[in-house]
Amino acid sequence: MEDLIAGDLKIQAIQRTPTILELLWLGKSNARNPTAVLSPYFSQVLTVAMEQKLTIELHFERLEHFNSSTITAIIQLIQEARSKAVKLTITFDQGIKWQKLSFDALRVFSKGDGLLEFRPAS
Amino acid sequence: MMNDARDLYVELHIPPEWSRIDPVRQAVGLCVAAVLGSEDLRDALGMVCAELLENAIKYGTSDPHGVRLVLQQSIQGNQKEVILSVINAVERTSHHLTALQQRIEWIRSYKTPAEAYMAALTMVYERAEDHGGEGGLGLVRIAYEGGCQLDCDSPAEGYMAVHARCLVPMSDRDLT
Ligand SMILES: Nc1ncnc2c1ncn2[C@@H]1O[C@H](COP(=O)(O)OP(=O)(O)OP(=O)(O)O)[C@@H](O)[C@H]1O
Ligand SMILES: [Mg+2]
Repeated sequence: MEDLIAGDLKIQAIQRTPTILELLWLGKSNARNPTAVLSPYFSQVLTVAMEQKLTIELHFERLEHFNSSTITAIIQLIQEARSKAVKLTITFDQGIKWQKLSFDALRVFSKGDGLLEFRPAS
Repeated sequence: MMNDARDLYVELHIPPEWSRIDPVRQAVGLCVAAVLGSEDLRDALGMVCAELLENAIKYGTSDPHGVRLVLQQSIQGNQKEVILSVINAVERTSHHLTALQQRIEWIRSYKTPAEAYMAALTMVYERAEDHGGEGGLGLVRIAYEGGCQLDCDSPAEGYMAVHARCLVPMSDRDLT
């Protein structure tokens, strides 16, 4: 899987183990229409994850800032991953208040099917 | 010495270009950190600033004065209030004006900003299931994550001001 570089945002794709694809979010996601680049990238990621039976780990610990349209794109990813039965985990820095507030709120999408997990780190 | 309201007053006029948002977000965050000494408030008000400027640029109309931003504080009893206002020109007949007012009312209709935010997230998820439209998280995020109260008014014919107010407890230093 290739990295995504779009404006101030970089998403680094790393496969350290045969079953996990890590997506490291770096920099800032502040584009006017982030869905335009994120959505096709996430589609590719989901295709690879389905083919190779991978869990996708989203790492936000090093992300400086994202705008609300990026949150919409992440919710769309959560929805699409669930519809394809791809497992997602979300890791964030709970010592940073904005990260804790933003990502704790997304727990509303954990539906007890084990397809979405949260791993607060600090 | 008691801080007074003028400890924080910043006014900027910004061309309505998307690339200007991030430097202003950082500048506002740094001003807040410099005066109030909190990284959490730096991040929160930086985010609030970016969301308000995004809206001003997306939904406002062109104006030779650009988008106006005012960051200031006032004292409310034994608390400080930080107020961030963004003012943009807008078409008098724009449907965005009612959409803005309705959104602020909608947020207030919930007991807490957290409940409003969860409801908004759920709507985005449900629209994704229906492959429907996007958005609608900016203002409610300001209320929840930014901890701000929102209101809007028209300071002059053809202009819209959105104000985000955030209460900050006085530190021991403020009170001595
Ligand atoms: N400064 C403004 N001038 C005119 N209308 C506005 C302004 N700010 C917001 N609005 C209106 O209020 C609506 C809600 O704004 P909000 O920021 O919550 O969501 P959004 O901008 O539609 O989506 P998102 O912020 O998630 O990208 C907007 O769609 C727009 O119609
Ligand atoms: Mg917005």
